[in-house]
Amino acid sequence: MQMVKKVLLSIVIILFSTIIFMPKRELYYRLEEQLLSNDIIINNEKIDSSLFGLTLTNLELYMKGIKIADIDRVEIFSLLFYNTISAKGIESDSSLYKILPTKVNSIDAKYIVTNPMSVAMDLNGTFGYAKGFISFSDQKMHFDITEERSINALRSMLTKGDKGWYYETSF
Amino acid sequence: MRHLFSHSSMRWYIYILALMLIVKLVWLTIEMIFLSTRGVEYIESSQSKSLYYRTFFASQKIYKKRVVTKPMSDINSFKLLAIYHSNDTIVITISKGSKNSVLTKDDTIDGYTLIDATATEAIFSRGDKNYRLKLIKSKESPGVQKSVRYIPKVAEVIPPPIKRREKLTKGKIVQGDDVTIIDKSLLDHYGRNMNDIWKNIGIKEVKDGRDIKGFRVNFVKRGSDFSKLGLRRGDIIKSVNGQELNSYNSAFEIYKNMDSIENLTLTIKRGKEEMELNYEIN
Repeated sequence: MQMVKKVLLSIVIILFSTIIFMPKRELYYRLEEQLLSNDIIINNEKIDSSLFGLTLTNLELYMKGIKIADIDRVEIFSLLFYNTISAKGIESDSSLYKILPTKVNSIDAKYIVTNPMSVAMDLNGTFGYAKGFISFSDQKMHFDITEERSINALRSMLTKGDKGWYYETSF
Repeated sequence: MRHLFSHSSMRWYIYILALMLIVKLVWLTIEMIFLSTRGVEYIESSQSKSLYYRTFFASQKIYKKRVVTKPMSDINSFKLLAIYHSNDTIVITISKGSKNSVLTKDDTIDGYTLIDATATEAIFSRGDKNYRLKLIKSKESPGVQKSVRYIPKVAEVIPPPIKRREKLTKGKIVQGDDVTIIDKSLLDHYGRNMNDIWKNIGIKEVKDGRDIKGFRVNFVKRGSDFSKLGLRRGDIIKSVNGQELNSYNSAFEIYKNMDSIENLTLTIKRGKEEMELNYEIN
């Protein structure tokens, strides 16, 4: 019994200290390097690390040298087996109004170890609410518009299904 | 004397601290070997744009609103040497005999008033009639793009340009002699439906190391709007309206300004030859 107790305690301590001592800022820089290889750059951000994650404020998002959006705040929370990224106040560049929603209030992404090949996402913007997922195994992205507001600008990218409008693309 | 900590408790604390220390050391090692201590920052490249000149125009002086008053003469006695045409500026160089004159919009010469211009011609008015003067053929010389070829034509009486533009069917591309006329609504459509672009044409950057040297046309769907533009598979688009396509951003700048562009000139490399494709957007 003593041995079991010791093993369990060791696991908890290792897990806890792994999260606590994780060099979050440096890991984020590593992520930036990975994104750079795909021509995605996060610029001008202020980074604050906390016990369980990072908070980035005032981000500028560039893709292939083109400014895509300004983001007010991104919160990254990690417990290793359960991770969330929450972005708030996303305004796409005015020149992209024809192809992107002008304002997205929030994007919430959730990644759980039990479903390692998928990221669940919730979006709330000028277009309404959308719920969807990114599947790495199928290499596809699917979003259902659960509550539509102003989708005219996006209509050309959306498909009408049984449950309403949805967006789907592969990568 | 009582012990503040029992031996077994102390052993536990030391064990916990040792575990935490090991984890910290592991992270420290990973950090030192694999992780960087600096982030990636975007450095914006210079957005300076070169002015676009169709011919050797830079060396000539531009005189504002100059009125050249001369006795009436035939429009065919003039030769149109050069045009600079942007959204709000029209400047042309014409010659009569051995004398060259630079005119801007609404300037008058020999009773002919410059009212409009396209990529290849200047339009004058005199009395109730409009006259079109074509750009003369440029002399080929080393360093000059051989593909810039204009056929000299005698001036002809034409209906006012506005009426001609009204005739253009919505969403159509009309092939002219040396300029292709594109309906603006077609550009609006592709601006809003970018997926339709990639269904009809495939474009990929041409890289020399990390530098982009243009965009190669990988395929053009037969019968599509893009094939009507004169683009062919293998063409490398080097610049648009004189602005080199050396980054995605430079290409995107053109997309951003598309609403205000009236004339488009694509400089393309087809095989070993460089050539220009001219478009007028109505």
